[in-house]
Parts: sequence; C-alpha cells; structure tokens
Amino acid sequence: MLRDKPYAFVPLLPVRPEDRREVMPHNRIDINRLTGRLVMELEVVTPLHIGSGSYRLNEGQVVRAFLRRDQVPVIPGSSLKGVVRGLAEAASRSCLAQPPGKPCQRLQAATPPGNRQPCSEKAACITCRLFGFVQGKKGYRGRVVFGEFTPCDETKWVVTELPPMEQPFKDYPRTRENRGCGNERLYYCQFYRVVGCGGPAHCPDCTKEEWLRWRDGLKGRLPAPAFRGCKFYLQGDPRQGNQPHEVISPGSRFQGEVTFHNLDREELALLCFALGLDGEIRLGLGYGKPAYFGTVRLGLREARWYTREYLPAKAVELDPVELARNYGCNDPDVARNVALLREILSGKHRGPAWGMEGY
Amino acid sequence: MFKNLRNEARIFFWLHTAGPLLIKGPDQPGLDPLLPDMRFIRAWHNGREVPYIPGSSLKGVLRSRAEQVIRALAPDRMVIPDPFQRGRDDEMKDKPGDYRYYASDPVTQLFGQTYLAGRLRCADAFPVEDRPLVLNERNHVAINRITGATQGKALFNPEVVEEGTFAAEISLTNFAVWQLKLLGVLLQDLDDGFLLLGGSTTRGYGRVRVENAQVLVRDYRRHPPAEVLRGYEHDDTVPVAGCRYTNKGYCWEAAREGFEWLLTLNVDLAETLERLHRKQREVQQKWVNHGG
Repeated sequence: MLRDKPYAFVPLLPVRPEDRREVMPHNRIDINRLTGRLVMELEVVTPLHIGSGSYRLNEGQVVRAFLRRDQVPVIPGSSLKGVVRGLAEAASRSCLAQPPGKPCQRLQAATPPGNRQPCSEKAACITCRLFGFVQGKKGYRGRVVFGEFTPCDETKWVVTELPPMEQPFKDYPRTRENRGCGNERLYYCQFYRVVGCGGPAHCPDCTKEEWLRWRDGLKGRLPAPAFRGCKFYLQGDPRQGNQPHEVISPGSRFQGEVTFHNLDREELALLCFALGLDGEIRLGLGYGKPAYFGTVRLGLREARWYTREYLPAKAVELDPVELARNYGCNDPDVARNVALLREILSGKHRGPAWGMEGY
Repeated sequence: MFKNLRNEARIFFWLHTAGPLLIKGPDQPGLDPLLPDMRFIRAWHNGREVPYIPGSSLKGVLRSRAEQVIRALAPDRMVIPDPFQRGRDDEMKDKPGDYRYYASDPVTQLFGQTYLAGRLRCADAFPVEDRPLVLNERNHVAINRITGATQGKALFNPEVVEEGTFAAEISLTNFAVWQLKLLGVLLQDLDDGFLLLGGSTTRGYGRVRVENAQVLVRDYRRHPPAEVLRGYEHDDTVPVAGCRYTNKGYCWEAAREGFEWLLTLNVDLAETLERLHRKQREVQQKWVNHGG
C-alpha cells in the first residue's frame, strides 16, 4: 500500500504450469458442471459516470453524456465485465492479458514467471478460462455473460463537475528502453534494491527530482525492473473540479444479470468473489476513479440454476455468497492478494484527500 | 427425404431486443468517414435499406445450442461430429439419400450439412413495421491492468440496435416430432437469455425475447389427423390436446399460439436419441452387409 496515493498495487502472482488447464469446450451442456444465472442489484455509492463518448447540451452548458438506451441510463455489460475480470486476474494465478506497451527487452522479466506466457486452448489460466481470450487468430469465448444493468426505478442523471484527469500511461522518464511501458517511477521501480531509499513504503516520499537523481547515479547498474502489480483505486470522498459530466447520484439502484455456463466450483468461487458477493468489496466502475467517483456495490438478489425437465440430473446448487467468502483459502499467495483487495476495495481504508503532500 | 411432402411446421415469432444487439456488417462499411467502425448489418427490404437479423445468424446459434443439448442427452456411444470435420463429404457423397439421412447424427438430420439438406430453414428477420427501431453507436476501450489507463489506441465504436423488434420465421419440412420439441427447447433458451444473438455476447449484447409466437402445422397426408401431431415417419405420433386441423383442400392445417406447448409434447428426447442411434447403426450395418 502506498501512503498518500489514491491507488495501491496488488502483486502479480506467478502462474505455474499446473495452474493452466485445457479450456472447457462450448459444444456441450455438462451436467456435472455449474450453469445458471446470478440476478443482481447494483447500488451506486459515489457518483457514477459511464461515458457515451458524446456531449449534450444541459441548461446551456456542454456536458459529457452518460450512456443511455432509449433515454434510460444503463450500465453496459462491457464496463462490468472489464472491472470484474481485472479483479479476478488480481485475485488468482492468471496471465497478464495486456502487458503494457510494446515488447521490450528490459521489461521481459518484469513480471513473475509464467505471467507473460500466452494462454492457449490446451493450457489457459483460470481468468482466461472464465472470461475468454484472443491469441493470434485463435480465440476462446468466455463462459460468463454480463448483461446490461438497467435502473430499478426512475433514475435521472445530474450534472457534476469532475477534475481533469491526467493520463497515467506517460512514459517517464522518456527513455528508449521503456517507450510505451508507462511511468517507471510508479509502476516498476526497483531502486530500493541497490540504493538506500527505504523501499516501497517510502515511495510516496520520493519526488521526481530525487528519483531522477537516483537514476542518474545508477548509470550502468540499474536494477532489473519488476512491476508492482495491478493498480486499484482506493475509495474516498468524491473530488469536485470544473469538467461537467452527467452522473448517477449515490443511492440509485440498477438491476441486471450475470449468466455462467459449465463452470467448476473454483471458477464460480472466483467469479463470485470478483463480483463482491461477500459484501466486502465495492467495485470501481466507469470514469473518475482517481477522484473517487464510480464506487458501486453489487448484491445478490437470486441465484437461478439451469434446470430443464429434459436434463437427466438436477443442477447442483451452491451458495454464491459462501463461495465468495471462502475463495482463496487453499492457496496462501492467493489468500494474501484476496486480503489486500478486500482492504483496498472495502472502503474502510479511505484514499487520501486531493492535494495532500505526496499525492 | 424431400421427395414426398408429408408435413410442415412454420413458427412465426418476434425477436424483441432486451439489450443492445450487434450483428456486424461488412468489414468495409463505406466511404463515408462519419460511419462507425462496425456497422450493423443491413439489407434492402420493401424499398428501404434496413438493419436485419440474417437467417444464418439465427440458424447458427440454434444449431450450436442444439449440439450442446443433444451432446448432453445422447447415449455415450453416439458420436456428434464437429460440423467442420473434414472427410465426411467424401464418405457420404456416393451414398443414397436415405442412407445419408439415417446414418447421420441428429444435429445433421435437422440442420443439414454440405452432403445433406437440412429440414430446418431460418428466414431473415426484418424490423416489424410501426415498432420502434433505435440505432446507436457505443464506444469500447481496452484498459491496461497495470496502469489502469487505456491500452494504446484500442478504441472502437460499433453501431448497435438499442431497441427493435424483428419478425422471424423458422420452418421445418418433413419434420419428426422430436425435432419440434427440440425447437421448443431452443426457443425457451433464447427467450431465457441462455442463448444470445450476434457478437460480443459476453459483454451484454445479444439478449432478445421471443414474443408473439405462433406455430402453424400442416399435414399433407390423405387422412385427417385428430388432435395428434404426426411426424414424417408413420409411427411418429403424439397426442396434442386442442389441436384442431382444418381442411385446406390439399392439406390439413392447425395453428396454435405461443411456443411453450412444444415443450409439453410427450417426447422423451434422451429415449429418442437412443432410438436414432440404434437406427443409425442398423443402416450402417446393412450397408456393410450389402457390400457397400
């Protein structure tokens, strides 16, 4: 956890050969596996903005428009799927589906063993087996389907002004060896291995100037970089700015469904955990997470198992909340990441206010 | 199997979007730079170019679901081959029509293969007049896990149908009763959202509801059927309460509202597959015994 930063990193876990398995084909309904639907309710905790990519005129002011379907604000399945997948990747031994930047010599070993090895039909990590992957011309469709979430009752957007966000993907420093790979100081600095800076706990105290001075001093003996992990934003009190956006107010409720096909128990447990069904995780959705916008809470209304009169066996029924609570207890590394995610995303550990020293 | 026309079923229904629907059109949408990256597929209909659901899109998802259901129920020894498996054409091309049919698996019997015409046909589904049709552009962007920011320039904006109702039609020629029941199962899954249409289905696209369904059954045999549904084979008959046929001069015709009654047909799908498997082996054995 970085002090005085609105985000924290969850370490990437090594992917061992035994963590990858053959994908479950889509050509059958496997009665020994779990198929069904989670009917869910989503509660908006801090103002939520999901951009439609367009602008609207609101009382003479040009505002960034919220996504809507037929004049009704909706939360698209793609937004939710992205967030849940990101969480599932961090909470399991999964490959890094999208390594930042172009392949670069210096960053080849910046991720744990097995992390950059692409998944295939014969050997896929748990997240790719759940959410699908594309590898070259081949791909695998995920077995979890995220529906669109629609308001439970009449929900209107209000206009709120967000602060301008700066793109964090800037190459810094702009050197040839890390072009397109992001801010080294933030994402993969390992200077503490060779200099007395105190390590990650003191990273917020390290200024750009100091960091550049370390770097210049280490000319020729730069330590091998290693990514800190996946970035997750903390939760806090929303920060106001001067960029008008349509947002959904806190307290608004949406409903939707997540359908899954042919999962095994471990896969369903990971899905339930990543959806935050244990009640200890609030997801960060949409735009403005550094300004503490977009915190939502998902709750389970009902689990419907796929039962059909013509199928020979009755569906196995499990408690999704219980699965989410117990997820990760068999693997100490996973359990550590799960605990860290709960700490970051529970809302109990509040993010620092904007403008604080080191922010 | 198509030499004699014995029976026919046509199912008319509306597909109403219950979420955005994306069925991608050609890769090159046109010269207009304002057009989105991915355009919803369009065709000319009644003098206008309109978005539509191609019959192939509907048939494709129905077939893949039928394969899933049949694999779950089929006896262990029964092989449901991959439709893209090579060599089946060569194996079947010199064989007579009835051999090709009975020696094929149940999915091929219903949906066809390059060597065998299917019994099921899906028509293109065009928008229903006087019902709202709303198109919109959506934006998608890939997010990098480490930085939390957009991944390079991975932005794309598909054109989707946000709201629309399409009139679809499925017809079955010389059907077996189990095929009609299976179709009921498939339509139930489509209505329930376990079967989705078009692309990007795991991201919230493709959910539709089946509305306004009507099943029309025709029997072309000389004697009128009385409250029964008769399949192509002579011994393939199930009772259907309240099914009244009217004389159309050259056929007997009955119509029923909804598709749910298809699910109640007294047909055990697992047992039927067992029977079909026995028949398949008998036909193959007979062919071998006759020096084929």
